Formats: sequence, structure tokens, C-alpha cells
Amino acid sequence: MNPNNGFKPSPRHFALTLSLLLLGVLPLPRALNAARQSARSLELNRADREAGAGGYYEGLIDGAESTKGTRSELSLRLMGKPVEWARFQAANVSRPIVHDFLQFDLWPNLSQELFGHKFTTNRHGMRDRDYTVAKPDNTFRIVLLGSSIDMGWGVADDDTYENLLEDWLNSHAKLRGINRRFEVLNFAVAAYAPTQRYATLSRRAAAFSPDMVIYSATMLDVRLLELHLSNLLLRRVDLTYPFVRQEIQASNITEEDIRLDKDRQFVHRDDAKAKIRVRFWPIMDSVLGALAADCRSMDIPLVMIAIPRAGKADAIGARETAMAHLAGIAAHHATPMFDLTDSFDAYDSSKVEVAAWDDHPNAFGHRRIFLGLAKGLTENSDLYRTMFGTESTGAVTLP
Amino acid sequence: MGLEIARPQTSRLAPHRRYFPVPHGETSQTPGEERFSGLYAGEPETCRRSLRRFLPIAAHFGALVTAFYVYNLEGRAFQLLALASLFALPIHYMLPLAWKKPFFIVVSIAGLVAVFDIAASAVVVGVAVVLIGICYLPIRWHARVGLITAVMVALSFARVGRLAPNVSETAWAVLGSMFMFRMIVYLYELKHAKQRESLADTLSYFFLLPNFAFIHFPVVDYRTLQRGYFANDVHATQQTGLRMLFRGTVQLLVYRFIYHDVLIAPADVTNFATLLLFLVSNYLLYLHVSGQFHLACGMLHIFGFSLPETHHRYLLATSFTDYWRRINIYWKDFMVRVVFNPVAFRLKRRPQWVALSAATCAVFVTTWVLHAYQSFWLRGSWGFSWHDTLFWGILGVLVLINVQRDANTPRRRTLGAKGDDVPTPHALALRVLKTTGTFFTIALLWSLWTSASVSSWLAMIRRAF
Repeated sequence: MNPNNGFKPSPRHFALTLSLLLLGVLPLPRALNAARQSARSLELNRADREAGAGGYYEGLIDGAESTKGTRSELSLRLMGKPVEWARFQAANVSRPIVHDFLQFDLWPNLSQELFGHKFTTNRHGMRDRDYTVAKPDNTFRIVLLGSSIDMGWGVADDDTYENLLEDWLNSHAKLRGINRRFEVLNFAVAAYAPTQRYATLSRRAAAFSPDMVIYSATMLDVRLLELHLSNLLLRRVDLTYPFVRQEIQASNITEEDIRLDKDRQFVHRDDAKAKIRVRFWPIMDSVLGALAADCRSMDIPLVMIAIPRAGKADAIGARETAMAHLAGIAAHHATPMFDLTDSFDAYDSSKVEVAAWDDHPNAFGHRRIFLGLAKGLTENSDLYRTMFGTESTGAVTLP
Repeated sequence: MGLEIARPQTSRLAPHRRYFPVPHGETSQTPGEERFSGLYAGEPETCRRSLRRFLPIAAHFGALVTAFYVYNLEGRAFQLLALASLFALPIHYMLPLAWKKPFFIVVSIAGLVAVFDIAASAVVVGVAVVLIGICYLPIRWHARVGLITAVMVALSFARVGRLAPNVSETAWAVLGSMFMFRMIVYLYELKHAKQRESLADTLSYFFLLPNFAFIHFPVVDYRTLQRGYFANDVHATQQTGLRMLFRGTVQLLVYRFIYHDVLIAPADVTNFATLLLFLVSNYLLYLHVSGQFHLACGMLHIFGFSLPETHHRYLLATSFTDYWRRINIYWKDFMVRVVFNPVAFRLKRRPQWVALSAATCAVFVTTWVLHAYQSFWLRGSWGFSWHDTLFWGILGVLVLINVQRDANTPRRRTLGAKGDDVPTPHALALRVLKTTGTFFTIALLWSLWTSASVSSWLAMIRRAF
């Protein structure tokens, strides 16, 4: 047999491979770069994400796997998810309070390794440093209401944007010779819907005498809200707040929609959710209205921020409609809003996400959010004056 | 016959006849020869090592593996296995032929452990040992089939969590991927084999390295795999593999782009233009399958397994039989071998059209059932539905009509005049028309198959007109 039989060197194919490789690393114009990012992305697309109507968060909260709209465990393993990478519920950091409006919260006094990072909660069940209930003298307290990104899912305790903000506020005050300490209290809990964030202020945060409230919104809130409200209906929990009752009534949810089977699950699983979903923006408007009213009664400012997930889901072109709605709602309630959703636009998602199978921002992503938030707070002269009791010098040094 | 009637797009030889056994003993090396000439004693010429030829191949493979990482292709599992292949390649290349296959098996099992955890891998290897062990029992073939069926039934209970609930579901899915079809092919081979299969051949058939990155895996034919092993010059085989890897990479990148930036949801179909966009982009999602299959086969080529291509320009099919032959060729070969030929052979005394119709119907009913069976092992649910049934039913009828038509039409060249390779404008126009018609019909059927329900699919069509 001829040893050369069938073999021909193929420099053309080698050149094509090198070209493909170069195309993957060379800087490209924005449109082409977006296409390249799409070609690299292992995320679900919008249609597949929405097919589950909250499926991901059902998995997150209920520990279910392979729900529609989510990736199966096998799929995640092939993407590279390690065995020890647990969903929120399986991570054993939260405790259920199923007959309560909040549904669940974080265990207090936790100190454990989660995904290779320290996950600590204080005695009050905040994923944060320790604080006394009574506010110390010369202290300005900011309360953060949010969900998983704000809680710092997937990052170390000191890498959350909330802790970075606290450290920077204190160093900035020191630099300016202002005798004031800052405490940013993180009341965010993973998978908390806007309604749960609202309830957290009066139920838990108000006791800490806050001087300012930061309400964090994400593009996922619609899913979280339909999940929270449908769980309240499923578990026959008191809707507690008049505006929630009114909104459920306005959703035209019937007894048939929320009828339970023998396993105490909805007979028509998605009907109530679908009705809640179409009422999302009116409900969001009511939540922010109620929150703004509570803050006014406490005589403290309310700030809304919009933060992004790391990935294509909140990229340019995917978030504009939601942002327009949020901006309208913030304006309706005269609440300053900082749109931080462009924090990751300049970066490939692999640079800012916790992992390929988890689009929460990593430490770098949290730093980007912190920089955007600190910039917003210092550029708003009213808020700056409220926080520091003096005028901004104009030139603020961010780390 | 039947599905094989029209002019084939690939070799007409049955897959297991396309390659010849490794001609042992063909070597120019004589024992005691001082200078290593690239062959160990007793090795065939196809195995001859040449650094001058190998280094460009290794460099090319290295560039491709780098591209896999740069483009984050198919996730960590595939990237890890590709990297493992890159490191294993020079060792495999230099090893004597007799050691190559055991080394490939070791790399595959190491890949299994690296992708999944030790516990899941132990379950996979343990159950695989039991299943393969049964195949080697000195009992009648039917008894071995009975035992394997019993074990598979038990495993199916485990798959749905009724047995061994503590075992990770990934273990059952991986086992399903390894054995659900390949065991059928292997048992078919055992039935007709004249001699006992070697353990290395058997293990290398079930423990295929890329299978642990691509759970949806082509139905590789046992005999084709073994006969293709070092059947050609190893550098030529590896070169073919590199081309397959490149083609698969491009297809997967195009797939990702379409999936994220082009595809619209069925709910977004509001007129004829958006319907067309949906039909085309939805159908092109199949690039994910063909891309993965190219990568899987390409990786096997790197280790000396010469295999036929899994897909052949299926978007350019000119008829439904042509489509059936071009898309997932391994599945078509599997069905022809295990279903079509046996049914047609049993009915050989009946009129040809009866035999063809019965065999084609049997193929499509089996394909429909086996797709649900595949869904069960890989996803944990059977997934039978009306739209799924309609898809396979309509496609089966279209192929059946084509098969009958092809059987009654004398074979002729479709492009160009007699003896002339340049197509006439008329022939070209006809081909374009046929290709377009086939493409859109399949795209329409594909949209039915992937829809949530028949009613939602009909609603989408109504919105478009």
C-alpha cells in the first residue's frame, strides 16, 4: 500500500482555521462584535427563556429541575457546571416561611463556602456585615432592597456592589473631612419580587432607621412577580397590602384559575401567571407608588436603580422597552432613577458573568455596578447633599 | 432498493462495506532493522508515522482547539475533551497499533470522569460492564438479548427515579446515550458475526470520547467503525477529521448567531414575511445537530477512525427521498439495515410496490417511536404528541410517494446533457425549483414538529395570511 494514499496537505483549510481564530480575537466594529458575541453565547435566547414563564425561578425557588424555559442539569453539566453548584433553594441559605407574605428569607448567622466564596449573613439575616438595630451617632444609613444580584449571588462578601459602595462612601467622607459614617444595609434576598422588596422595608428595614432607600429593579422582575403572586394564591396566603389585593382583582383571576388539585397544585398551572404577567407594569407602578409613599412618610429619599444581568438577556436591544417602562414609573412617582443597565455593554459576557451557566455578575461585574451607582449618587446634587450634608465639589474620585 | 433507489449523494456501498479490514502484516519494517522507519513490526502501511506529515496536522488541530475556546464552542465539556484529544494525539500517534485502541478507551473513560463526577462515572462504567459482560456470556444470542432487555427495562425505571433515586440523572442519560441505539446495532452484529468480537473493539465502540460532550450522538455503525479503523493512511484520515471539525465549528457558530439574533418566536409571526423568517430560521436550528455530529466524527477521525460523513448538504436536497438520504445519514443507514432491508426481504415475493411501501412505512413508524425512546433516555420523558405524530406521518407519506415514483422512473442524469457535466439552464432551473420546494416544505413541517401544539401551529399559520 502506498503510504501517501489519500493524504494531501491542506494549507487552505489551515489558513481558514487561522482566519476563523483571528476573527475570534481581533477587535471588530460594534455590529460585528455583537454577532460574534451571539456566536459565542451558550445562553438561552429570549423565546426559550420566556417559554418557561418563570421556569428558571421556579427551579431557583422550588428546586425543580428541567422545567420548561430552563436548562436541564445534564445540559448545565455539559456547559461546565460543577456538581457542587447548587440552585438557591438547594444552597441551604434560605428558610421557607410559606404562610407569610415574604414566603422565605435568609437564615441569620450563616458562614459558609458557596461556589468557592464566603457567604455570610449577619444576625438579622442580611447578606452583609454586622449592624446594630439602633443607628449609631453620626451615621447615615442606606437600605438596599433587591434580589439575587444585589444579594451578591456568586461573589464573595466583600465583592458585592453594596459593600463596595459602603467602603467608598466612608473613604470619600474621610477624604472630605466630613464627620459622618455610612452604613449600607443589604436587605436583598435572591428571587425576591418587587412586592417582597416592598414588604421588606416596612417589615424589617424600617426598624434600622434608614436615611435613604435604594430600590433595585431588574429585567427579571416580571418573572419574579408572577411567581411570588401565584405562590401566594397557591398557598392561600393573605395578600396583606390593599394595592396587591386591588391588582389581583384587576387581573381578573377567577376561582377556576386558582383551583387546586389533590396535590395542592394549580389545576390550570399557567393561567393565573399569564393574567398576572399582563398586569406587570400596573403592579410595578403600584409597588413603587406604595414604596415612595412609605419613604415620604418616613421623610427619607427613595432612589431607584436598574441593574443588568451579565449576558445577552439584558444587552442593548433587549432592554429598551423595559427601561422605558421603568423610567416612566420612576418619573410618575418623582423618584430619581439611575439606569445602570449599560454597565456591562463594553464587555464580553464571559468577562462579567459568574459562570457560563449563571448570568449573575461576578466580582468585576459588581465593581462595574458600584462605579455606575457611585457616579449617579455623586452627580445628583440633592442626593449628595442629603448624604454628605454639604455640596459636591464636582470632582469626585472613584477608585 | 426502496430508500436507496435514486442516485445516491454519497457512496452506494452499505456503510459496513465501505472500508476494508486492516491488512495486518503489510509492513516494510523488518525485525531488527536499526532505524525506526515509522512502523512497528506487523503494522500496516496506513499506520506509518511521519513527523513531517503529523506536525502540520497537530498544529492545525491545536488551532482548532484554540478556536473552540475563543468561541466558547459547545461549553466546557466539549472544550475539555478537545483539549484532552490534543494532548492524547501525539501519544496515540506514536503508540504501536495494538495499543492505540486501549489508549483511546482509557482517554474516553478519563474524559467521562472529567466531564461528569466520579460517582456518575462509576455508575456509567459499572452498568456498561454489566451490559457488555452479558454480550460476552456463552449463552444463545436470544438469551443475551433477553437479559439485556431486562437490564434496560430496569434502567428505564431508574431513569424516571423509581430505582436508585440517589444516582444522578445525568448518569442514566449518559448510559442511554451510549447504549440506546448502539446496543441494538451491536446485538445485530453479534447475531451475524462469524467470530467473537474483541473486547477492545467492543469497548471502543461504546466508550467513544466525543459522546461525553454530545449526548445526542450519531448512531455509529459498529462494523463501519471497526473497518474504518486505520483503513486509510492515518494522516489522510486525520486531515478529513480536521475538515469535519472545521465544518462543524462553522455550522455551530452560524447556529448560535441564528438562535440569538435571527430566530423569532412563533408568537411574533404576524404576516407572511415574518412567517418566512420564522420557518427558515427555525429550520436552520438543525445546524446545531449537524454541527455537533461533524465535531463528533471529526474527533474520532483524529484517533484513526475513518467514518463516512453524517450529513451531506441536506439544505440542498431536491426531493424528500434525497432529503432523507442527506440528513442524518447514520440514522438512515441504521433504519435501512435494521428495519427497511429485513421488511423488504420478507416481502420479496410480493409486488415491488407493496414491499417498498411496507418497508418505508415500517421505517417511519420505527423512526417515530425511536425518537420518543431517545427522548425518554436523554430527557426523561417520551414526548409523544399529535404534532410529532403528524410530522413523522406526513414526512413518511412524502418519502413513500417519492420512493414509488423513483422506483418507476428510469435512472437518468438530472444535471446536464448526456455525458456533459455542465447543467443546461433548464436542468439548473428545475433543480433550483425542486431544491426550493423541498426546503420550504421541510421547513414548514419542521415548524409543526417544533411547535407547542397543533392548534398553536395552526394559529401561527392563520396569523400569517
